Amino acid sequence: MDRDLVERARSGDQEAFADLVHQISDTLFGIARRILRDPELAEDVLQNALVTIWRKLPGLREADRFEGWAFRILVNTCYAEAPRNRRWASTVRELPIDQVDLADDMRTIHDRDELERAFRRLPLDQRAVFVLHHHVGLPLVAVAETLGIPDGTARSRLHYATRALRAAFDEARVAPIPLQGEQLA
Amino acid sequence: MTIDDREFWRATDDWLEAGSDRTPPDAIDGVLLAIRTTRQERALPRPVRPTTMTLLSRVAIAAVAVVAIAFAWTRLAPSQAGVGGIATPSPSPSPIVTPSPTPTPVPISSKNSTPGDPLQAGVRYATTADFPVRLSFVAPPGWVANIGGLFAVWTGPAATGDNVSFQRSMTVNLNPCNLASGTVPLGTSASDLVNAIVSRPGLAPNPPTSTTLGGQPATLLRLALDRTRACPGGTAPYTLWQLPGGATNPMEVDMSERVWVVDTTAGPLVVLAVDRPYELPAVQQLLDSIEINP
Repeated sequence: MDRDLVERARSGDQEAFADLVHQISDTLFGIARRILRDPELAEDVLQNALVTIWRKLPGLREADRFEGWAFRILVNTCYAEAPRNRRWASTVRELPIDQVDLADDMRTIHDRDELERAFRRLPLDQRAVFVLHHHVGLPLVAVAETLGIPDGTARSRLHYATRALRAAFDEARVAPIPLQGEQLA
Repeated sequence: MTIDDREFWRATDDWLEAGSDRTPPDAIDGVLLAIRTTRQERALPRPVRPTTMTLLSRVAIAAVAVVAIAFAWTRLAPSQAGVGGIATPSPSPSPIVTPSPTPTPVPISSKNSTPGDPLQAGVRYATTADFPVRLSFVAPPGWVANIGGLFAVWTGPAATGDNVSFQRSMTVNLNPCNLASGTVPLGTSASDLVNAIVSRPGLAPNPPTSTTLGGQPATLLRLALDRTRACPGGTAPYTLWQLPGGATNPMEVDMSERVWVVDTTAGPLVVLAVDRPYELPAVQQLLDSIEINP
């Protein structure tokens, strides 16, 4: 992240902040989309988080820590917005069943569907640790720092999330693959 | 890693990375429009100490500082016994470099930030009114500290921040593998807490020992998990206790912890040291420097 850009935005430069937004928005959107499993809600959360980042930017002490600080605001916004949004609970994933021709593809879709179901059952704090660690690639210590939790807590949340996904995956492997056209979601 | 593991992680990566991360342009336009009318929150200016002082004022302030240091010395004077009951030379504030004229010990100022505020190596830090047990310790190089609220103070290297913690008001889980199982009814003394901890299933047998910490009588527990009995199936982390604010202390099979339990007027105080091998010398240095004023 461009330190100069962060410092200019911190001092109130709206153009610098616009450049920052263009640099970081896809990353933030990707994180929110993965945690919330709903692109529309992720878009709302991203907007709220970016406005919060703008408001609170003068309070950021070290420009070099902008990215982790922005991740933290984004995740906190996910926590705040998700329970208030009915779409979150009612979103149903539609799978392109009619495009599946091969058994391997069916297996892949079946695996993904089971992982998706398991992930949606997880609390948001476990999802956040999993996404920051496995999608963003942050070490667990950095995840803990980003989220403001002890590293043992980050470790246990990751443990729970991985365990749930693994159980779902193992179950999917022993369950019969649904036939084409069968409702998965 | 087994073939099953590899298949699991390949499938998980495929699933996690599916879809587009491209931010819809309308979303960015909306944000840029919003910030035009959104004011930034400016930090309040820090109070500035008057720069013009009379000679009399300077003398008076210096005298107050000397009295405060002398008072702190008498209140927090270290005992002659070190950690584990072994007689060791107590740390003395005299060789510690402290920024003059700041009185020692320095209050821990960081609250609810992660990993905490940096500490100055060699300086003695004390808890503030946020944490109702008065104690102090000398900071090892590169450590941070953080008051989590009424119930905990965390300190450790900046990378982890929690190697040593001071905790109170915890509830002990009946079954550390199943938090829904309820909590152990606890009395108000250190021995009640010790008995509740050591009787939890899954811990490797290790009897408590009497010792001293920070000049106070303490009970030392060496906690490690019994590999064959801790959380069968690995379905949950082993969690002995939690604090009222929700913080927990999950243990893993290869982890060992030392826990001292000390009676104080604010109830049992737990001093917990996570024994990560590469940080042991710094942890021991801090433990040896602890002074508790119960």
